[in-house]
Amino acid sequence: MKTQIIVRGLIGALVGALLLFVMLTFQVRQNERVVLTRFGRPVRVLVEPGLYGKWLWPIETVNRFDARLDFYDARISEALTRDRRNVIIPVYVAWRIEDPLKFLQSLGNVENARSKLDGLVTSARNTVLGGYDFGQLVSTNRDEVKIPEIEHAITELVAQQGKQSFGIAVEQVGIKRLTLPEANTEFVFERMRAERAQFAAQYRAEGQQRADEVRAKTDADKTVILADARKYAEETRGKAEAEAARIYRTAHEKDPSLYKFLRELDALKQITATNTTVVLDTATPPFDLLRPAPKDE
Amino acid sequence: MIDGQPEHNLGFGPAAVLQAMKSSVKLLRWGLLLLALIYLASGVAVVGPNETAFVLRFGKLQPGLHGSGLLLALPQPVDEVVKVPTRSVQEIQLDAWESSAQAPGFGATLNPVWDGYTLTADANIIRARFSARYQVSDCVAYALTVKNQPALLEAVLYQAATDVIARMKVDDVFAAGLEALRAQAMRGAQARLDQLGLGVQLLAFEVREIIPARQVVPAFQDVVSARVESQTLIEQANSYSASELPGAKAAAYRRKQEADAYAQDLLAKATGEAEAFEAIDQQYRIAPQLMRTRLYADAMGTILQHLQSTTILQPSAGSLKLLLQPSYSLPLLPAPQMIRERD
Repeated sequence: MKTQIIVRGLIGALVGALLLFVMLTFQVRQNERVVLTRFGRPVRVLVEPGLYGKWLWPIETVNRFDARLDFYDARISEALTRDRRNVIIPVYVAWRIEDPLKFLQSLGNVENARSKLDGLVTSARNTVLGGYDFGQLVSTNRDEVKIPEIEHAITELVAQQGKQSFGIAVEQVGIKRLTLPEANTEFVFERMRAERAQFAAQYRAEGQQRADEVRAKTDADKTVILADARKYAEETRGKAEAEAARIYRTAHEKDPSLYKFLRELDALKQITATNTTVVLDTATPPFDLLRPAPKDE
Repeated sequence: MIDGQPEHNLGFGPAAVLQAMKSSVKLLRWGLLLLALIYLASGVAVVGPNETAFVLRFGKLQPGLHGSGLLLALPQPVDEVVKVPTRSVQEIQLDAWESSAQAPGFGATLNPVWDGYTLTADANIIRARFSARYQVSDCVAYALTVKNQPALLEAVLYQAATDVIARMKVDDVFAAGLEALRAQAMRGAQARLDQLGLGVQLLAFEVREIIPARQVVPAFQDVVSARVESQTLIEQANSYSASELPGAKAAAYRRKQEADAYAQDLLAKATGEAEAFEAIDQQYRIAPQLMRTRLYADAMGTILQHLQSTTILQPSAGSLKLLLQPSYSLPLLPAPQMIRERD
């Protein structure tokens, strides 16, 4: 009977202690910042994670803030560059709560913080862009593009104001896209089409030119090859004829009179073809044999 | 009951009620014990094969990471087990610049709010779809640094792509520069993620599609076909060249060969004739008159065989009148004089 009372008492005490523990303590998670308020008045700011004690509910309240980076897309709006070009540059902001007390006092919750940030970022972006030309947003010269510089300038500007006024640390601002007001896109398309048409014409002209070149070169090569061959042939013939002439001359020089005689006989053979009628006198050998023999021979 | 007969309606009487209460208290005791046990065991967690876990005790990070397996932690509210899928490769699709985004149909313009696009270095409007693969490299940082990790990751990737494309000409983006775009965007995004301490390692950044805005697609296609046409023209010219030149070369070769053959022929003939002449000459020197007579006689024999008619006249026969038909021609025959000369 006695042990039963002791067990019961122990259980009761345990439950009571547990209840008190739950009511009188709170945890600060690794990623959280807490502001403890007593009747609405901040009394403690807790940055280190761990277990902490507090008074019962209506007396002290725990205001928890997630101190992790929050990501936020700023509202889209037009901005003007230094050279008066309208651009629309959507940006994102990565921010976190750094000073929970200031944050609690000035903003209270994340929704308020976002709308405040929106104003800050928009005005910072417009201010910074006013100092840069359109050619520093997009440029074929890689080094002229100042996007990281612009982002950095916006971050600096927003971070300064955010920290001073709201206890917010702005860690990064990034340009998500580069766009133009809707009305401008039509002109851009016109320009793009004109550019493409120019390229197309250029390609066609280049192709035609190149093809013509190849054909012309082919024809020229052909002519050269044939002319070369002709030249070679003429030279070869000429040389051969000269050589032949030399050979003939060398031979005939040894006895010009025999040569003349032989040539004449040849000529005679060639001239007197068939169907030729010849009138000869009997003094011509061998017809002289037809004449009566001379008396003294 | 209303009539004031509670005992009867209970059916068992007070003793039975007491008995029932006693036994249910006993049951309750066991139930409580069981609940207490379940509570004590609630801290035990199973860490999956692709996960890494860490423990927050009273919200404070405890040293040491836990791989897959059973993790013995204390029950809530003492310990909190946070599990992060560190080993699985996660993929993120970036379709906000998609060509077929929300806008129904397409007009002459693009609305910057719902038509995703960006500008190239030469201020051309292009649209694209990307995808990226990543892995959690630092699970504590991943879980405790950023609230909405995929959204931030997406924003950072778009930023990197925008930054790279703003420095590339539109023709490079569609062709040779794609690889550079991929590599540079990935490098840029990784640098930004590291700066934020997100604890994420990018494994790949892919350009799934990159095209000009629909409004100007026909113009871009025309450039492609112009390129093809130009290539075709050049190839036709090349094939003309390939077919014409060998023919010309063959003709040239033939011509040269003919010339060579002619030259050889000529020289052979000349040499032969010269040799023949020399041979005759040798004989001629020995007996010139004899040789001459023989040659002459041979020649005359040949000649006279071919003649149609021969008329032989006495030199003293007086004047000769020739009546010729037009088809006959009088051969020029200086022979008598010639032969007489030789005599």
